[in-house]
Amino acid sequence: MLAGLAFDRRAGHGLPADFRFSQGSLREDEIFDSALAVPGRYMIELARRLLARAPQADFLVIGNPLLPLRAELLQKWVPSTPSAPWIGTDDDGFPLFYCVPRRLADAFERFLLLLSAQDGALDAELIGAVLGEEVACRHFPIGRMGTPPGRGPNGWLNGDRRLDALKLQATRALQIIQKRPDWKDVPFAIYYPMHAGDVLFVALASTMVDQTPFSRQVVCSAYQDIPGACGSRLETIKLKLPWISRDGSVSEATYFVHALDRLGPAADETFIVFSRILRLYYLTPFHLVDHARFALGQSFTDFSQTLHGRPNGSEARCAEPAKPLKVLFHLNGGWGLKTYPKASIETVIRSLGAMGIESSVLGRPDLAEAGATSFDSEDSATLRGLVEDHHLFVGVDSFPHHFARLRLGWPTIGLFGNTKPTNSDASYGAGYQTSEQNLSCNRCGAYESCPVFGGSECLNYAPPQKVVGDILAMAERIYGYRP
Amino acid sequence: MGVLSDFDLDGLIAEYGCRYLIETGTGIGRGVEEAAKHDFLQVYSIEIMHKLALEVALRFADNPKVTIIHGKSEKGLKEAMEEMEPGVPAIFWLDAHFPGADFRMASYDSERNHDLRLPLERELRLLAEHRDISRDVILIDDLRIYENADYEEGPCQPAALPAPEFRHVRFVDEILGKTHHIERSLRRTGYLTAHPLKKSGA
Repeated sequence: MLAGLAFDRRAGHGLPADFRFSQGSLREDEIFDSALAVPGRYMIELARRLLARAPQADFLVIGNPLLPLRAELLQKWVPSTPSAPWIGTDDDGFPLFYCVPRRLADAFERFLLLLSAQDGALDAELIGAVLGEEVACRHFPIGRMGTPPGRGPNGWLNGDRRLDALKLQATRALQIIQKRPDWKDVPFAIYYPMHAGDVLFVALASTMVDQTPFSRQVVCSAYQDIPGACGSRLETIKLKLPWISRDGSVSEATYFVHALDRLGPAADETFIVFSRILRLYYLTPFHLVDHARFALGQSFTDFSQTLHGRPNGSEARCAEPAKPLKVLFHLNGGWGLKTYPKASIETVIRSLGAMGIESSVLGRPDLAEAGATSFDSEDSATLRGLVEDHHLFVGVDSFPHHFARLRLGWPTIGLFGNTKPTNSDASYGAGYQTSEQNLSCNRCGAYESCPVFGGSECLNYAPPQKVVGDILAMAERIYGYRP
Repeated sequence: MGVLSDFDLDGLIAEYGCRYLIETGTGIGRGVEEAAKHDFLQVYSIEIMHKLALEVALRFADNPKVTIIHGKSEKGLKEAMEEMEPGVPAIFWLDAHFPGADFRMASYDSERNHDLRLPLERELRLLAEHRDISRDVILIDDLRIYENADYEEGPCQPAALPAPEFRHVRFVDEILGKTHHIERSLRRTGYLTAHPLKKSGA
């Protein structure tokens, strides 16, 4: 639940408004559910919605998006029009709601992105510095909210102490505002530096938003070529650190501390917004490109605005004659269970070979015996060349798949096992489809072994005969190919 | 395994004007620790094992003179060379083999790909292709993998040895023979060092 109040001094009352995180329909009382958006981004959305409903409002009360609040409760806490900004907190100073003048939303909306949503005193100081006036904190005797759980009931994620990073983000922002007279001109950077597919989603999203306060993107050096290869409109800030492991051995908060150290002066010259996965992204059907678009500032009110609601950005195909048909596979997805099973792909490659179809694979010399040629691809330019040298691309839920379809518009078949297609597929059509078993256990998200059937292979992956059939069908649709 | 502290880094800096140190095989960061004590403009260390690379990178995150690059040595060397000021001599400290074994993360023969197991020749050719190495100092560790001799720490485990046709360092003479003075040392697991015939400013 997301709640707010809009106060109009002239009318003398507050307008209550309740919203929910959208499950897909994007109704009027729903707000897009983005895993990459900081709590402050939801506060911006609440402010926009409140002002759309009450254009004359001069004060807004915005519930902390981390908490499942209702407007009815906010009305009890703030019964009359406020005269000065303040933050309501619990006994520990955890912010419950923010009572702010509309000029914060009108003139300084982007600075809401920097709030911690964890520490009332820190956020009061930050809002005060932006507004140039004192912002008080008032405690409400409701006890203590405590530390947010690893996975909250309303979708927030605090695994690997990621919400702690928001405090650091706010502290750094406050230091910049206090130190620099030109703080209003300091650029904003989105911090989502790692995992190639996600760097791509942010880069593509930047090309699909009309207006954004962000002009920079922090990217690990291993992936620094990706934004350019995806036509990103954001300037890349290179983070010279290896990406973080998925095993939780280094917490997100710890890594963020080191990342800011590593960025050195760049971190003092940029408002860095911690935009790592903060919500359980698979609870909604929205594509991660749209998650990134929302995080960058785009408001969604209609399905037609989403990636699934419009045709793919580009369409392209191989210029070479359709025979011999050449198929490029990418089968490793970053962790064990996400890898398409070896025995199955060997069958696919052998079956295609028997029909005269040539198979290539990215980074899998072990499939040479089955008849596939393996290529290494360590940068986007090499990958692009390889994709364009094949008629079809077939890949698991990983960077090459998203690059081939979303950026290059290449005829692509997505293989989905333990991840959810709608979060990272593409618009469906002649040049794109997925191939899977549609088991009810999808999406489990497990890493090394199947939580339902055991074993190290995901049974939701399509069997070889289906993959071969889908390849032949797409080859006929796009190239008129018949074996 | 060898250690960087066996070499007189200050002496090499003074004598050859080396201002960069590039290491392949970060391991647990001993080489970086040593190099960071000396007056280099930048120390680059390349590690293929992500866990090791991340641990050491975070340890040195607040030292702007240290860069840890995760990836294959070839990719890392290219990345480092792109950043280095051209014409400024460097020390290249090269591990001769797949690194996991030194840190009990893999056995010596766990990597079947010859290029990954013994990347030394490919690395040297890459360096020669991408920069004028005539003023660079090259320090190579684990000579015992390539040649038999009476090394301090004994012979190489048979499992780590390359096929006989690959067990030689003739390529070192071929690449560096005309520009460097090449020496062998029996210390620890054996070093092969190549010092420029031309000294700094010569």
